[in-house]
Amino acid sequence: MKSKLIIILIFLLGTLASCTKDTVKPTVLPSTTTAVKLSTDLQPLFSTNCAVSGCHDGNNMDPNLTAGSSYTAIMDAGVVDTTNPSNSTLYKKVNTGGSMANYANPTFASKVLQWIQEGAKNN
Amino acid sequence: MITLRNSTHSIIRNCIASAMVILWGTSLSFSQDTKKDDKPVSNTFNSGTFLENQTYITNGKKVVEFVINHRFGKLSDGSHMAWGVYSPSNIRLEVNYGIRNNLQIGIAATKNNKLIDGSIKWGILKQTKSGKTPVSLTYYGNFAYRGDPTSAFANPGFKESNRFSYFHELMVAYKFCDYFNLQLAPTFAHYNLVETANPIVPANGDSAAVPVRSNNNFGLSVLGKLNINSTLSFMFEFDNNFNKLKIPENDTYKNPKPVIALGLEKATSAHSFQLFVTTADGIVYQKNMMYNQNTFLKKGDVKSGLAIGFNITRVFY
Repeated sequence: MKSKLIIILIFLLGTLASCTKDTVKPTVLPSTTTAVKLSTDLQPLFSTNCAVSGCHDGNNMDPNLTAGSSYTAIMDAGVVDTTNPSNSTLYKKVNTGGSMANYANPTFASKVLQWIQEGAKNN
Repeated sequence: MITLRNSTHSIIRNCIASAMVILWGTSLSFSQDTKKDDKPVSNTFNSGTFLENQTYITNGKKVVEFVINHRFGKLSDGSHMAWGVYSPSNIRLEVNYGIRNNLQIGIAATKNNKLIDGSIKWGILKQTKSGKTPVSLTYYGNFAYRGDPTSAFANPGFKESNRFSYFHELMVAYKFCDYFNLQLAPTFAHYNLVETANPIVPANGDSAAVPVRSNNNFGLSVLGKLNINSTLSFMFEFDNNFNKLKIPENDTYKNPKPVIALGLEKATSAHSFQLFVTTADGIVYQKNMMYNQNTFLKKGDVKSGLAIGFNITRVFY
């Protein structure tokens, strides 16, 4: 009985010693230094992926992301937060893990974040 | 039909009556019989392997046992995949050895995730016929090493310790009568590495690693065996994991589903053949506990995850 207890204790101590608590480290995409413009960098994807029939086309879900209306609609919906850019709803929705992530991609999310960090201008 | 119902009623009544006698027997002492009845109960489980878990049974000293666990593909794959027979399958081969009476160690290899696992099983208590020891108690623990290439871990900060996972359980088994045995086991699984909620972050984004699930998961396993005749029995099992994901469920990350398995066992003195349907395909217990995504029934668009599996054990005394 005693020897069995010792063997079990050795096993348990061994498992405890090799126990770690790790999480997968995120991969950080390379940064871009050129400014992000709404009209040339963000609107094309808004038009092809978001402002489709049944979605953010002006008749269904807010904000209306069709070309020409997207800036006003984004501002009216209050989905950008220039004081705390990574907390913006627009960014969180298109980033990995967000509810709209399937319609976007991490590179686009990075551009959205950069646009907000640069003041979310109507450019 | 009425007579069949009456006979099953009488079997159940006898089962409950004998269980009550055993439970209350501890307060009564029959001095002329106690020495004989302090023997452990017999005719419980036929092997230490049971569907998707272990039973409290340990082999004796110097006994070698070979175990083969095989899981076919999903039944819902349909007739062109012969209901899972032609689909990708999983298999685990194990050898275990009794180093002491009631202490056995084992080593095994599993195909999916190229796992190698080492295990130890200690039979602490055995339920006695007299009721002096009311239940059987056994500890089982394992560690698993995942042999996949480092790219499979998708972890830029990969370390060798990321390959390890562990599983511990304490099995409490009770023989109600010659027809019915039940085992309850609190389970614990630990993965050294768990996934993050944000695997790819933009350059200027928040790059903190947010774990999707806890490295430590707790669960409960319930399994039971109903004897049909002296060699054939019906087995059922339900294993649940109580830990929920740390982030809301989405397309990539979903809560682990419970393991449900039902089947038949045909046993001889040295062999146990178990044929069953199961929702788990990982075979290794910690993998099933933390990552099982198969459901018993069809749920909306998702097809049923049931698959046919078999376990074969062979003991060499």
